[in-house]
Amino acid sequence: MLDRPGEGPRSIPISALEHHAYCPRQAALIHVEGYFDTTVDTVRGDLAHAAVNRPGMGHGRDHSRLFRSLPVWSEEFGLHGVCDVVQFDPTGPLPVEHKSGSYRPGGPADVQVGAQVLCLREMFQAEVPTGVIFAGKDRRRHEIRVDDALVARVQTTTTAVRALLEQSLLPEPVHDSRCRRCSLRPGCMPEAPKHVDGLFMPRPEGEWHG
Amino acid sequence: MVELLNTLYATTPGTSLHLDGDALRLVHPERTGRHLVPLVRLDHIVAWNGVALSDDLLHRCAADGRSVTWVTRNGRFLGRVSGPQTGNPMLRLGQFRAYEDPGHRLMLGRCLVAGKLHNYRQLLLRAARDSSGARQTRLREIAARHAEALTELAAARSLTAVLGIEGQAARGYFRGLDVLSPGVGAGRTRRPTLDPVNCLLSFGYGMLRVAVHGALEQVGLDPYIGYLHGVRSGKPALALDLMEEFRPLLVDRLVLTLFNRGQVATRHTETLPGGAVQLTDEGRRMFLEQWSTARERKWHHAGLVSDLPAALLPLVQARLLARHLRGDSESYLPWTVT
Repeated sequence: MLDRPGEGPRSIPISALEHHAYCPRQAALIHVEGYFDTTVDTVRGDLAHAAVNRPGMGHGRDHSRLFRSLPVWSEEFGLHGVCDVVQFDPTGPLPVEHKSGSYRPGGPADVQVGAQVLCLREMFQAEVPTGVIFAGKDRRRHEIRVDDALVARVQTTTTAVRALLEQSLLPEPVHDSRCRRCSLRPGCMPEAPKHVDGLFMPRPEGEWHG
Repeated sequence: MVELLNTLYATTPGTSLHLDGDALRLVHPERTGRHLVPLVRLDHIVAWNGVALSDDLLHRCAADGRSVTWVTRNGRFLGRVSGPQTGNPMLRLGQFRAYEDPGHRLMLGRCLVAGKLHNYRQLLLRAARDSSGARQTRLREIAARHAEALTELAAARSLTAVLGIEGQAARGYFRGLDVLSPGVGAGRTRRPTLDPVNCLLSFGYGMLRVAVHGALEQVGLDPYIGYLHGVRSGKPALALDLMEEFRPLLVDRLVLTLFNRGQVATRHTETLPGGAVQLTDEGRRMFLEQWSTARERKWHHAGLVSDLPAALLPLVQARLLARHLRGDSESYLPWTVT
């Protein structure tokens, strides 16, 4: 795929990083094939997000300024997205990502928040050492330190997603425990065979019920 | 959604469909009261001509990705809208490349016909098991010819040969219609249909086409560029291709069962001067009720080794075809029962 001359590398949606960190095929199904399916879990997530999806200003309990649904981007890393909430403290901006489920340290959400922090650093020329995930399950804030290791993880994931969007093939299905809770399973079909045997061999009468 | 959603068939002329909050409201001058269907339960609307849809409802359906199809009184496809085009342009390029490559076209044509032959054979073997005497012998003979056709298919070196094998098997099958359902005539008639069986078959194929056409659009394939049926102006060749494997068990079996159980009465069809047979309003309603029930029935899928409701089969197969055309799998796997 050719970019227009003068344009930098394609900007990657931050949400795609989280999808890719969970499963590369999931990211390709959503962002390459434009396929999405809803389940109880995704609807629950949407409802949990309803509170933070109304763009605008607000105030936190400690009178800090909050901004909901704030578009963020980074020229340097080629990323763009929308932060659920950005809290503007005297020390600088702090992204707060809302999740309906529980928080898993080192999981895909870390990459997402890491990317948001990189965007805020560039946009506000601020330090932004951490990001926050608010987990709906325990109703608690989990602080994520964005260190060199996480920045590197964001970068490798961004490169991988960019490569994925440029090529036409879908990554192989992972076909493991991740598939159990995945809402895209009906369209992913991890169990579909790659080879077809005996398609031209007559078979005996089947067991299907008339 | 994994949940099986419904298709709304709006057949009564003079009906209008409106948006009412998150529901669809049916209005007909002769029906009193409020008739609401929650939109969340519907994934498709089929409107017969004479049924009007409000702009608000159409816009909402487009936004939700719920498609709307219009058909004639006899179930012939008139048109459809499905909101923004979905899918990946790379997939469409893959679809065109496969069409341009004679070897690839031949391979796909063979797979599509194999699916149809397998399922017709299963239908015939099942009918043979439930019959006896000369009828059983004839059914077994037709099934044996389908078995031969499958073997010939593996050796077919041109699309013309594939079409020849398919055509011969289809003629053999339709000549045996009278043994499949005693009391009905043999042979296939279309444009117009000349007996009630052919009339119901054509109507059933029309409904199947609506489902397959929608499934192809949903995965981002062009329904008009096919492999077995090639490219003919105005013909949804890929929809016709993908329909082949579904015809025997989803349509023929349903129609034959209706006749064998005596559920098709004289009031369900009418003969016009000249001999053309068409469905009456009551017949149309009867078939659509049976079709809707049949859509919920689960079928075995030999390739995926799982049971799937009939209504989801076209979408699953459209996805398998898309995956193959994108290079995800070596070959297309048709739906067959075992």
